[in-house]
Amino acid sequence: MTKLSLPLLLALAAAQVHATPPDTVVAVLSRGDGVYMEAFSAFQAAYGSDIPHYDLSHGRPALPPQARTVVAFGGRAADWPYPARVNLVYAMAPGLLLAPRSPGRTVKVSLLPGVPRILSRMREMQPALKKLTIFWTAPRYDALMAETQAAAAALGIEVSLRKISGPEALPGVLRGEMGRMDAFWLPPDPLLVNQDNLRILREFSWSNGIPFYGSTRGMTREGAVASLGVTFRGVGEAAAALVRRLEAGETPPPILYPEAEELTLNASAARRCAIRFPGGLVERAAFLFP
Amino acid sequence: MKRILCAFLAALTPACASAAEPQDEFWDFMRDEAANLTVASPIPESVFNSVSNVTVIDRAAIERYNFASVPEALQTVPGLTVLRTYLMHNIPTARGALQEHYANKILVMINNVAAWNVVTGEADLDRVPIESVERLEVLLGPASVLYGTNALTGAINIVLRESPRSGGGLIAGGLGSGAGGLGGGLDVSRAGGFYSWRDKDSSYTFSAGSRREEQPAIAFTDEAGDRLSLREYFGARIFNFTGRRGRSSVLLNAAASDQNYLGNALTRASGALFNQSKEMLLAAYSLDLEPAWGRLRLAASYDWQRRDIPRDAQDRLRSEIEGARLTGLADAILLLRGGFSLELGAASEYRNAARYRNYDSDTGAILDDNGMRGCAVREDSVHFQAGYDGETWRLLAGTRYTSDSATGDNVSSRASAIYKFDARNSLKAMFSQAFRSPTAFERHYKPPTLTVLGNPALTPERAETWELSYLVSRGRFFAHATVYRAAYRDTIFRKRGDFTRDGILYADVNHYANAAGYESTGAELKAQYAGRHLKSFLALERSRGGRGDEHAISAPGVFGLPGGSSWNFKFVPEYTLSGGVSAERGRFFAASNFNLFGRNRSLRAGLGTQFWADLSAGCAAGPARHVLAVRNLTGRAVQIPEHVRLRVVETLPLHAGRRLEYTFNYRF
Repeated sequence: MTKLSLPLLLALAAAQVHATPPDTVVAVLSRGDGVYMEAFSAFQAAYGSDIPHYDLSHGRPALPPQARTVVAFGGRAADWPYPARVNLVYAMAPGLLLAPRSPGRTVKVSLLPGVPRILSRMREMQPALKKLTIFWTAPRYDALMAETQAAAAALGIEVSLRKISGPEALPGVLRGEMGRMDAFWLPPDPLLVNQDNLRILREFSWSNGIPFYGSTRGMTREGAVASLGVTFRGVGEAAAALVRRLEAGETPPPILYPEAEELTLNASAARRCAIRFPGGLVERAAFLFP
Repeated sequence: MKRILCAFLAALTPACASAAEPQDEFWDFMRDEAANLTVASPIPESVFNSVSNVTVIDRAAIERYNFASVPEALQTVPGLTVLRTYLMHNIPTARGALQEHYANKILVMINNVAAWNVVTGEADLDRVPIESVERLEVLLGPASVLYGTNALTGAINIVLRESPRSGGGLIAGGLGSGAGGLGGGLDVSRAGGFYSWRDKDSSYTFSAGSRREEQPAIAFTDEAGDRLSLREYFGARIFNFTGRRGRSSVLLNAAASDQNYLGNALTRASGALFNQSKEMLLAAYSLDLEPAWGRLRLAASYDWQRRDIPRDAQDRLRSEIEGARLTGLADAILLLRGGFSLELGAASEYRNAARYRNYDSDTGAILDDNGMRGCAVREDSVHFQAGYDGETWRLLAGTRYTSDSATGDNVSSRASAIYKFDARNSLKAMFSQAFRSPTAFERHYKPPTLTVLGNPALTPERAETWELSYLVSRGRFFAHATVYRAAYRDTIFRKRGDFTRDGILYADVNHYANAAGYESTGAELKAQYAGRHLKSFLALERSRGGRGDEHAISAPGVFGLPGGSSWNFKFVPEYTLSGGVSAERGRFFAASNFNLFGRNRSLRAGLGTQFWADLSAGCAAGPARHVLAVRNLTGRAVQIPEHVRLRVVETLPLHAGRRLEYTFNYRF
């Protein structure tokens, strides 16, 4: 009993130490509910202590003077004018890439698990994939696109980037890409991802047998063959690990791609596009929509 | 494996599915982030890239500001005013180029299908209830290369609403104060809804609605000196059907409306106070093919309209005006390499102004055909446009050649250049031309009383505009500024004087003629702010016009009043200003919008600024939404100059007193 009690007491003491709010870290949420809160909750749990947080939809954040790191969830929270001295870790801001700040560091937690992994999964599902077209609209996706081209070249995939200037341009661009692509991929671009566009993409994909790869579970549900993304919970956990690294004095890269990936598959879409999921892939999938 | 099984079961059972996949939260998230990336603006980003001067009022803005009708929403577009003549309500007017009796200088379309009365040329803004509108697209400036005749000063496209999901729709209704004002009872002011169904290959939407708007009665003195209790009312009943299957689309719009009439001479003796009715039917089919080289569209439409107007003090003599248009078109877009494109198109239209006849409403006897029986015209056109869409530049040039069997040929052209500083910051330079063929009424009308004579020698009126626009959005702000110079040539208007037709000289008679035209310059500014809970807009227009069309109104006239001098811009306000603000908090929301016309003049008198505003507040309870609105909050009558007849009456009422309206809608 004594042997058991000692580690228990030590663990409780350690937990008590962590439970003390480390005012050096604060969180700012674009909105204090929904998926923003889901990610923040995961962040807090992974970080191991209560973190003061501010809901930007209810007013301006009042950062304590001792704040050293701000963790922002959502584009609006990320884009807030924080003092240059604090580190800024921002997540759930697709299409937004902030400029570096000094002396504080600025690091983005991506909603994607890394382009090489995404392309590898596509190749796994579609071994004959040679030409991939990526549709995007948001202005700050240029860096991701450049990285994608480099990663695709390593896999022998030819990538075409097609910027969609507006909602009405999508059907025309799709028609223009007929015969020039083996598949297309849609990153989590808020300017492009809406129900109407996804319907257009799904109908185009299904009627022409051209696989549509998405980047969130929502896209798979709407008709993409598969999506490789990161859960909002995974984003929060990755942000917590990132804050720990910053506290340890590390210099992380400007964009962090979370390790935890979420693969979702759509059996109907795959059937329409003559894709057969390898058995191992189905086992690894978080969701398989029938 | 458990998660996969759960997902499979979730897809089979809706309750479990919603738990496993909070799809609404996903869309909320995407919308939130899109708002942060753009301007949180209802204006889609296409306005930055459009090669025309386009303003969009989308569904969110319609609901946010609780616009009661299409005309009311359009009144907030800078450069566009919705006026009236004594013959017609809700006449859209672009950049101060006044319409005559009829609204035939701006093309109105439903889902891109033009709809207008072939006899007198007017379009009708009330063919779609506001509940069935997804979006209003307003193109200011000449647009004949795109649309042919009637897009002389602009074009309005009413895009019909569809539910985003199969089996979805809406039911709407409302109660409004009637002619008795707030002291009177409440009448049903609107009722209707829509229902959509879709599967992977097809979609269908039905919508139906009725609207009745009664303004408090006001006193009005007519040309004969009779004091009338004028009851301004408007009512419409509408049915729409849109269907898509594969590459085929069908549109059906049927509408009937009633409105009060002020006579063709502003007297009770010419039918004032009696009812004017309209019936309209529009059917269109299009086949959109997608060959490897681009896009091919084949379309046909049939547009039938009938209008019935009173003409005497007993409502016995009435006129029936009826005609139809049959249109066919083919349009091909070739998508070339390097961002180049080429558009080629051809259209043919057969217009039959079947009748403008007077009849006895008691006996049905035909009394006169007004020289207008079976006036048919065929118009053919070809057009092409060449474009380039690059990273920073977008260029487009095109022309349309039109051959009209009655009025000859016309060539209209356009050229646009857009420099895109970035995705939210662009500068546009545009040149555009347009024409309007004279209507059958303007060419052939010849009533027994010779109130006005048509002129078979009329040529099309023309317009051309040079414009420079700058659009920018930063953070939550959006601004769109335009300066322009416009020229209007061979303007068709009513002229009094000696006139020879068919070899007969008519002395000192009202007749249609081509005027010398006039020029104008102007500036338009629209600014928007879109916060999370607070949104607002401001729309300002200021225009000045030349006096190239000035002509004398003789004095003393038949009523012994002094004459004067008339030109288009005499009757145009110095400026127009519209604005609105809306706020929401939780389930509750409120909005107010206003319109201000700067000082202007009638023929003989000055007219002060005119102001009216609406206020609404409501709450959303699940799928239901309730709104209480006060229209014309101040209760003051809003007057505009009478600019057509120019005889005795100086002004016409645009709005009478204050009105109250409760509306609700329920989404399913």
